[in-house]
Amino acid sequence: MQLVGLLFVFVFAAVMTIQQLAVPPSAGFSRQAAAMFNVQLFLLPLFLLTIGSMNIAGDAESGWLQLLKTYPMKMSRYIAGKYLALATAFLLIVLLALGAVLLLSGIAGPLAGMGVYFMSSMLLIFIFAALALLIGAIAKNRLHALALSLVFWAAWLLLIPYGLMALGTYLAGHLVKTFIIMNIHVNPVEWVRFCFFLATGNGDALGPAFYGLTSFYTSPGGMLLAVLVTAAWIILPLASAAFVLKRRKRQT
Amino acid sequence: MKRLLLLMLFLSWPLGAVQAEESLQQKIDALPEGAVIELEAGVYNEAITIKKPLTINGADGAVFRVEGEKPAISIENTENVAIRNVQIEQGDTALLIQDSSNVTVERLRIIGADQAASVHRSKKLVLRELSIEGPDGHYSDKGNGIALYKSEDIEVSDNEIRNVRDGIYIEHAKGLRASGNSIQDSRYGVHLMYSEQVQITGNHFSGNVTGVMLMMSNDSRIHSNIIEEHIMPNASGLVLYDADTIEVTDNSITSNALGLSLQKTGGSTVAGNRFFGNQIGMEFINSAETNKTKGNEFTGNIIQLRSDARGGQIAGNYYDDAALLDLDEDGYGDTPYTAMQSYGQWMVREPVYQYFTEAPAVVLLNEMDREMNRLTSLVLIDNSPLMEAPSDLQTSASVSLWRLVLGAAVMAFAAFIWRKESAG
Amino acid sequence: MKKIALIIAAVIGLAGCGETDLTPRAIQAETDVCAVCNMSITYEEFAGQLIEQDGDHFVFDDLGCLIEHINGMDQTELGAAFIKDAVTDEWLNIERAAYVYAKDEWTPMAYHVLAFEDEQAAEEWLDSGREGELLTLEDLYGFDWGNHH
Repeated sequence: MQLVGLLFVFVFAAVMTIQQLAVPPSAGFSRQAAAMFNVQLFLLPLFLLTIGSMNIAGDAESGWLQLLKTYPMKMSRYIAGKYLALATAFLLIVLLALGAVLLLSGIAGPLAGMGVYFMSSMLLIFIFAALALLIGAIAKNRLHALALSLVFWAAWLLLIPYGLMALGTYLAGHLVKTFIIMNIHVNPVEWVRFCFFLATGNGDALGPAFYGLTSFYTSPGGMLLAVLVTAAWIILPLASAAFVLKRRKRQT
Repeated sequence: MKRLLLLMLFLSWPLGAVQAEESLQQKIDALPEGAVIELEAGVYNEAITIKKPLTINGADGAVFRVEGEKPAISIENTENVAIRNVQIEQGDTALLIQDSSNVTVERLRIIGADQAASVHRSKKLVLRELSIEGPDGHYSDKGNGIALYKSEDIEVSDNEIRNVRDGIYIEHAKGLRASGNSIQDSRYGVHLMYSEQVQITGNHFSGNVTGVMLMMSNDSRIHSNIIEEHIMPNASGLVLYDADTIEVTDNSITSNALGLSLQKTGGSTVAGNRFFGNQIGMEFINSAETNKTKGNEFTGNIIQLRSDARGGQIAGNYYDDAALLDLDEDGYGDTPYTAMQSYGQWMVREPVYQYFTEAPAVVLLNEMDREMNRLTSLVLIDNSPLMEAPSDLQTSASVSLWRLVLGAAVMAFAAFIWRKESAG
Repeated sequence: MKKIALIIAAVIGLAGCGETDLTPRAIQAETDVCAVCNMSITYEEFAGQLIEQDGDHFVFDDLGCLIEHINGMDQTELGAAFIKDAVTDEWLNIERAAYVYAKDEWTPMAYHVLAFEDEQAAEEWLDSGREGELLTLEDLYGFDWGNHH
């Protein structure tokens, strides 16, 4: 964990400083904002999924979970405890990294939108910590958990977007648009990315084709739905993880 | 509403007491050619038509408040007319100039007009220091600020135009000089159609759908303007469509969705402009062949350049994301800069792809692209990228104490909790 | 993963097989721009629209831009094309409309060509004191857009 923390602080600080020296902050969606956000999108899910899932799978593998089950403790409490521990650890790492960036920016010059990065980190942590527990619950052992995490990470972050882009070369534009909108709702990485664009008021940067979608999600009803979808991304994986672990208990 | 208007009419009656005996129009008709009217302060609920040489100088507080479709002030079939310092409140066309020459309009304030100033078949015009504020509502439901049709030799300078369809709309015009204007929150700042010899210099465009839309025009120059924050859906800073021999020089193009777009355009020069923090710096559509792009600065644009075709004449520009070496110290990089990636090319073809703007997958793809294209050199390439930015922009490296302290505090706090947690 | 791939394949298959809806959609003033000249469509009464075989819609601000697009595209992809009626403001299929070149009538791109329900409607419009010449769709494909002034 210490290593992960150090890595994060280092990468964040480096990216911020480099972008900062090259490009002073400007209004709207800039390359600086994109670079910062992409570092989060790449790294946070990767570490959360692998560390979180291996932790749960490790408990099952080592028999610790079997031992725990002999105690009169509910599975939901076990899951909740794991979830909070994982989320807190990563929140601290992010806080540390942002502190370093703030420190550097004090020397290197002004920075815009620190609050937004903190919010997007929180969103990533809360969603992917839950998903990590689910993957860990499904996995047979630690290695399996690691493999599953990497597969999902690569699929969400890279393979699905590439697939969609490839589809676009021979499918009608309106179909690709439909798939992209579907992907926003079934792919947690895309959902966080979409929320980031909405929260920073840069929905227009996604292009006129998505004007209807962004204007819906910036209306009061849309915002409520966005909160519900986000909550679903946290609650559903946690509930499923508890369900899977319970069922396994009966089988053994 | 009607009642309110009636009430307003009633209230304004004593102010325009002159009208009771003799209307302004009657007064104008009675004056000799070339006369000067010093218009007293007050509200004039009367539309006037000027058909002979005449000067109207308004006192501060001289207001035309006109209902109906008839323009508040019409100037027709005449010459040597000047109108200065009046305010017009009119729901339809406020000022109409037709078939006239040598007309000067200065310091007019036009509020809520569907069409503020409309000029047809006239020449030798000066429209200066007008303040135009359009009505509320979407730009598709209202008219233009200053519209010029089939006219020539026109100066449009130092006007402030807000909240209209097109700030300055020009159709079939020749010899127009637009300078020092500030145009905001409208559809297009300047919209040129079938025009020539137009100079657009030193203007400020912001928050419109497009700053300058130049269509089917030629022999014109867009120089030293500030074009910023055009970020609505489909927004761009500058668009040249079906144009020829246009010079786009020394403009500052900042924070737009798309900085400059060349479409079906040839024989034009794009030089010395500063593209800064746009989502897309510059694009070529059906325009790769004969335009020159040199000495521009591309800094912090998410996509610096994109094109629908391979090739194009770009040379000697500065790119902030170029990793260059200059061993022979000639001021140019020794290796070419790949100015466009595959993603940029796809995006032109399929607009839906804009969704993937700077998505993680695309960022990775661009990096791979850059490595591969260095070998194949098939895409848009600058063979002599500039080492230093032409502009002498410096980032202020001021030390901010509170950020330093806050940053240290946050780090210390996090580290403390962390240690405690891992210890326990 | 396999299941997801199967579902996607099924959806694509279904979408591909479905009958394409070739009816014109409404203009959206906020986001619609001409597919040829990029001008935002603010005069809906002059708008054109084209639907490709695969169901993609393209909108145009002026009849001239629509014709230019058709001339430049792969004809096998053309599903249907529509233009607004100069009198009733309804969508007309370009195959069934009559056209008038009237150089005193303003259009967004100053191409000066208006569309009518049929030849009779066009002639009635001309009889009401306007100048212009009748054109057929074939004339439009070879028309020298923008050079009539």
